[in-house]
Amino acid sequence: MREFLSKIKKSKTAIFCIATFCIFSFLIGNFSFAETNPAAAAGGAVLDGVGLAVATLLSWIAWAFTIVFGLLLTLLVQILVNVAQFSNIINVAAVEKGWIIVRDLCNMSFILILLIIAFATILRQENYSAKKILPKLLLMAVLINFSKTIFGLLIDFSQVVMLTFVNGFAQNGPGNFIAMFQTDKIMTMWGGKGDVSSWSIVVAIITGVIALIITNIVVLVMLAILVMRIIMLWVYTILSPLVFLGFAFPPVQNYTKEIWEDFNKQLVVGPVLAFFLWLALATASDSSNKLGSGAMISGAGGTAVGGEQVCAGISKLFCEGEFQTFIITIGLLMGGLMVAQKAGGAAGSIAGKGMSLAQSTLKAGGIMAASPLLGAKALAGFTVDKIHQGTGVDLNLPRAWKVLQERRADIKKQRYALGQQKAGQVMAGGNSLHGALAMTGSPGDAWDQITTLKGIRQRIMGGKYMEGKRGEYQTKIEAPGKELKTLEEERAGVLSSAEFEGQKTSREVKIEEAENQIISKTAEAKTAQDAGDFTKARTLNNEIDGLKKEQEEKRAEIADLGGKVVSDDKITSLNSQIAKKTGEVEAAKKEYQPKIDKNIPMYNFEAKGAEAKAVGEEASKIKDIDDASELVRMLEGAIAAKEKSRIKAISRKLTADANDNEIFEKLTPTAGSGYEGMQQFIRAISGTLNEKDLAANPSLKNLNAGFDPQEAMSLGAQMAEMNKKTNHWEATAAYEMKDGQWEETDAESHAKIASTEFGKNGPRANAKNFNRLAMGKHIVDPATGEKSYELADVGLIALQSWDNPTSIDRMLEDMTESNAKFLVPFLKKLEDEKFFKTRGPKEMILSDGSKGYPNLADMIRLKANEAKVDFSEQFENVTRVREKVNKKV
Amino acid sequence: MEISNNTTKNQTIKNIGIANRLFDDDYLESLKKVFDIIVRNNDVKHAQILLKVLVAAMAVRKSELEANKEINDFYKKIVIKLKFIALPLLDDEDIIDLVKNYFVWQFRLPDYDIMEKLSTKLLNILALEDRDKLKAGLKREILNNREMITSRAEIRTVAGWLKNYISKLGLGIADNLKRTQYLVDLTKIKGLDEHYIKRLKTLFNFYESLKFSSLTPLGFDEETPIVIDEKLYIFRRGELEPVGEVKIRQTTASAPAANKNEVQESEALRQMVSQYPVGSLERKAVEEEIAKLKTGGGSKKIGR
Repeated sequence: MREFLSKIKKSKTAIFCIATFCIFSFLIGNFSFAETNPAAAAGGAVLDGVGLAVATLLSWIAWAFTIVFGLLLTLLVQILVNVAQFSNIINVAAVEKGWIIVRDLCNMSFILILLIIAFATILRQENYSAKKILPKLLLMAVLINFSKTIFGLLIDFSQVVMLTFVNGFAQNGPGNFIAMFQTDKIMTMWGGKGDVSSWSIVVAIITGVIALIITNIVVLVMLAILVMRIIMLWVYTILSPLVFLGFAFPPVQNYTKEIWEDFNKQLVVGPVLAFFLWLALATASDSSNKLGSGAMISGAGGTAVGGEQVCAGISKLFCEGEFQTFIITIGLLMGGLMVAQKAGGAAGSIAGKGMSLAQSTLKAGGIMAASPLLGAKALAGFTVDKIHQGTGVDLNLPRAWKVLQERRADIKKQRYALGQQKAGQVMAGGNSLHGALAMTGSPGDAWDQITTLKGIRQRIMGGKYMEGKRGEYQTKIEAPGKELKTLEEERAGVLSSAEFEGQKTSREVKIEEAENQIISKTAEAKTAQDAGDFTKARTLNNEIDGLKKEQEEKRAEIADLGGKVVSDDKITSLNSQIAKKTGEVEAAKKEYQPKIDKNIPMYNFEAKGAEAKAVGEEASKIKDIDDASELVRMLEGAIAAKEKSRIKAISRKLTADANDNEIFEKLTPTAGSGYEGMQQFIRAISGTLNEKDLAANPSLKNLNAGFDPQEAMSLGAQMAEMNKKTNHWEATAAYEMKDGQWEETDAESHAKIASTEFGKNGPRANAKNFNRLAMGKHIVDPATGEKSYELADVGLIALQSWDNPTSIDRMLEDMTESNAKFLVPFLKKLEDEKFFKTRGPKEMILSDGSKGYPNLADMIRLKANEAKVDFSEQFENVTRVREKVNKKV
Repeated sequence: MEISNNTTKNQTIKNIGIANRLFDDDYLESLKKVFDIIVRNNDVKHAQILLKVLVAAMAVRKSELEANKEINDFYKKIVIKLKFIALPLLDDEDIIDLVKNYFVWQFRLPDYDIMEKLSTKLLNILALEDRDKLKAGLKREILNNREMITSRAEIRTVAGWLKNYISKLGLGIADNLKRTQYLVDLTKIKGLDEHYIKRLKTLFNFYESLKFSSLTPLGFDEETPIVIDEKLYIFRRGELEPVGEVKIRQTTASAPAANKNEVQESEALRQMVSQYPVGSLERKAVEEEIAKLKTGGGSKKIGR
C-alpha cells in the first residue's frame, strides 16, 4: 500500500489533475464570493440588472448539462458493474464459430508446411529441415485442436482472481459509486452562513458540471478498458490455433508472438483493475478522513468559522470532507488505471516475451477509444494529454492511431534496413550474380528486386526460363540497333558535295601549314648543318620527313574523300532512314527494357552463403601449396570430378599467387594467358563453348564441370578483379555487368576498362609495376608445346602513355628488366610503323652505338641489356626450390 | 592428398638444406641480392616463398641463431620486411600481428603502399563477413601498437597518436575537412617534420580505411565494370565512374618481328654458352636467354 501511495504521490498526472481542479474551483469560488468583499461592491449595481439575467441563463444551461452528465454517469456505472461481472468469455457464438474456422485453416496449413520441410530437407536448408521442425510441428498439431480449451483455462484463472474483487463492490450495485463520487452533493447547498447570490449559484452549478465530467471520463475509461479486454480475449481465443502454429513454424511466429504477448497482458489487466476499483470504493472515504480537517485552507473567498467546515462556494461538494473524498476516489481510480496498465506490461514481461511500445500504444488507443466522444473536448483533451504524459496510456484515439502508424513505419523501416544490409552483402559478395542486383543501382533497388513477386516467379518458372525471356527481349532491342548501326556506317562512308568541300578545305589548310613548317625547318636544319650541330640537323630532317609524310597522307585522304561523294538525294534518304530507325530503337528500348529488368533472376542468399563457406573450406586445405604446376594438376582433377567449390578455391588461389596464367596456358593454350583465355576457360567449365573454341581445340569440351554460366562468369570476374592487384592487366576486365548479369567483354571494352583502371595509377607507377602479363599474353601451340608471347592492346596503350620525354628519361630507372626483355622483339616493328612519336630530352649513346636523343624503344633496349643475371637463378640459389619459379618465362 | 604429402616432405628436406647454410657468408650475400630484387619489384609471390623457407630454416637452427644476435637480427629484419611485401598472401593472424607489432617497419621499404596491400588481401578473401572480421581485428590491435612512429614529439607511439586522433575526431568515420585540419595543426602546433607527417598520414588513412565495412558500398573492395544504358562505368567505392574512350595508335606489332639484331643476339648467346661449365649458374642464365628468344620468335601473328 505504501508503495502504491508512493506511486500515486509520484504520479504527476494524478497530482496535476487534482491540483488543477482545486485551483480552478477556488478561482471560481473567489469570483463568486467577491460580491461579499468591499472591493467588489461597486459592481453590485451592474449585477442587479443585466448580470442577473446572464447569471440565470448560465445557470439553466449548466443545470441541463448537469442532468445529462448525471444520467450518463448512472448509466456508465451500471454498465461498468455488469461488464466487470461478465465471466462467460469463451462460450460466445463469435468465439465458437471463429475458432473452428481458424483451427481448420491451421490444420490445413500443416500439409503446406510438410511440403516446405520436404523441399528444405532436399535443398539442405537447415532452418526448415525435418530434423529441426518436425518434432515441434507434431506436438503443436495436437495442441492446436485444444487451443480454445487451453486459452479458456488461462482466462478462467484470470477471471477467478478478478471476480474476487468485483464481487466486493458489485453487491451494492451503482450506489457505491454514486456515494464515492459525491454525486449527491453536487447540487446540495452546504447550509452555512455565507450569502447566496445569483452568481454563486451559477458558479456552483458550473463547478458541479466540471466535477461530473471528470467523473464520467474516469468511469468511461475504466469501462472502455474492461469492454476492450473482453473483446480482445474473444479475438485472441479465436486466433489461438495460430499461436500454436507459430510455436511450431518460425516464419509464422513473428506474427503470432504478438498475439500471445498481448493475450497475457489482457489476462493480467482485468484482475489488477478490479482490485483498484474495489480498493477505491472500499477505502476512499476512510483514506479521506485520515487526511484530517484543515487540509484545505480557503483563500479570500473561503469561509472558516470556529470549528465549522471550510467550504468554497455554496455547493456541498466543495466542503472539505466531501471534496476530499471526491478527489481521493478519483485519484485512486486514476492511479488504479495507471498501475493496472503498468502491471499488465510487467506481467507480459514475466510471461517471457515483454511488451513492446507499439503494443501498449495500440492497446491503450483501442481501449480508450471512447474518450473523444465525451464532447468536452478542451477539458478531455487536457486530461487525456496529462494521463498520457504521466502513464504512457494514451486516451486520445487519433493520436494513439498516429503513434501506432509511426511505430509500424519504424518497424517497416527497420526491416527494410535489414534487407538493405543483406542486399549490400549481396552486392559486395564477390562479383557474382549477387553483385548483379545491387550493381545495377542502389542497394535499395536490389532489395526491391528480391522482395518483389519476381522471386516467387523465379521459383515457379526457374531462372533458365527468365534467362530465355531476357534473351528474347534483348534481341528485340538489338535487332533495330544493328540496322541502325549499318545505316550509320553507310552514312559515315558517304559525303554530300558540301561536306566534301568542307573536309577537303580543312585538309588543304593542314597541307599548307605543313608546307610552311617544312620551309622554316629546312632553313633551320641548314643553319645547324653549317654550324656543325649535326644532331640537331638530323632531328630537324627527321621532323621534315614526318611533315612531308603527313602531307602525303592528307593528299591521299582528299583523293579518298572524292570517291565518297554521292547525290544529295541519297544523303537525304539515308538521314531520314537513320532518324526513323533511331525512333524504332528508342521505342524498342522503352517497351522491352522493363521486361528485361523483370526477368533478371533473383539471388539466393542462403545458397551463396553456403557456397562461400564451401569454397573457404577448400581454400584452407590448399593454402600451403605454392607449386603452381601442382595446383593446376589439382584443378584438372577437380574439373574432372566436377567439384565446383574446389575448382573455385584452386582458381582463386592460383590467381592470388599471380599464377592464373598457368591455368590458361595449360587448359586453354590457344586462347592464351590473357582475358580471352580466361573467357574460354569459363565457357569450358560451364559447357558454353562456341564453334570457334571447339574448332581451335576440340579437347576443351572435356573441361565441362557443370557450372551454371553466370556462376562460372562470376568466378571469372573474381579472378579478373584479383589480377588487377598482381598487375596481370591483360587478364583483367574480362567481364562486365549488364542488366544484372555478367557478360563477356569484347576487345574494345576490355582495353577501355583495363586502361581506365591502370591509368589512374599514372605512367611512372605503371612503368615500375608492369610485367609481361600486364603488357601481353602467352600463347601455346598445343601440338608442339611451343610458347610465344604477344603484345596486347593494353600493352600498346601503356607504351603510348610512356611515349613522352619525362617517361622516356626515367624509363631506365623505372621499367623492370624482365618487362623490357619481353618488349624488345616488338620494338623494331613498332619503330618501322612510326608508333613512337617522341624522343627523350637527354642525348646519349644508343644501342646501335650512335649518339642521339633516344626514343622509348631505345630506352627499353638499353634496359633489357642491363639484365646480366636472371633473378630466378638467384632465387633458386637462395631457396633451392626445385621448381623453376619463373620457368614459364 | 598424396601429392600434398610429397610436397611437404620435399619442402622439409629443402628447409634443412637451407638451414645448413644459414650462417654461410655467400648465402647471406645471395640472400641480400634476392631480397633487394624482391623489394624493388614488389614481388609478392617470391616474397612469400622466401618467407616460408626462411622461417622454417630459422626454426631448425633456433638456438644457434639466438646465440648469434647479429645474424639473428639480420634474418629477423628480412623476415619482417618479407611479410610486408607478401602481406596479401599472409594469414589473417599474421597480418594482425604485423600491424600490432611492426607497423612502422613498412616505412623502411621504399614506395611501400600498405593500403594497396590490404586491399589485395581483402580481395583474396571470398566472404565479406570474413573481410570485416580482419578489418575489425586490425582496428582493435593497431590501438595496442607501442612502436615509435615519431621521435622528438610529445606523442611518439602508434597507439598514442591514434588515441590523440580519436580524441580529436571521434571513433566514427572522420570528416575529411576535420582530418585535414588535424594534420595541418600537427605541422603548426606540434612542429613535426614533413617526414613524420607523412608517416602519420599513412597511419590515419590506414585506420580510417578499416572503419568501412565491406558490406557497404563505400567499403566494397571490388571495382566492377557495369553497363548502364549502353555506357560503360566502373563501380568504385560506392560511385559509378564513367569509362573513357581509348585511342590506340595503329600498328601490326602485336607479334614480335624476328629482326636481324635479335638473330645476331641469339648467335652471340650460343657462343657464350660454351664458355661456362655445364650446370653453372652463368650457363643456365644464358641458356634461358636463348630459350626465351626462341619461344618469343616463334609466335604466330594475331591480327588486331
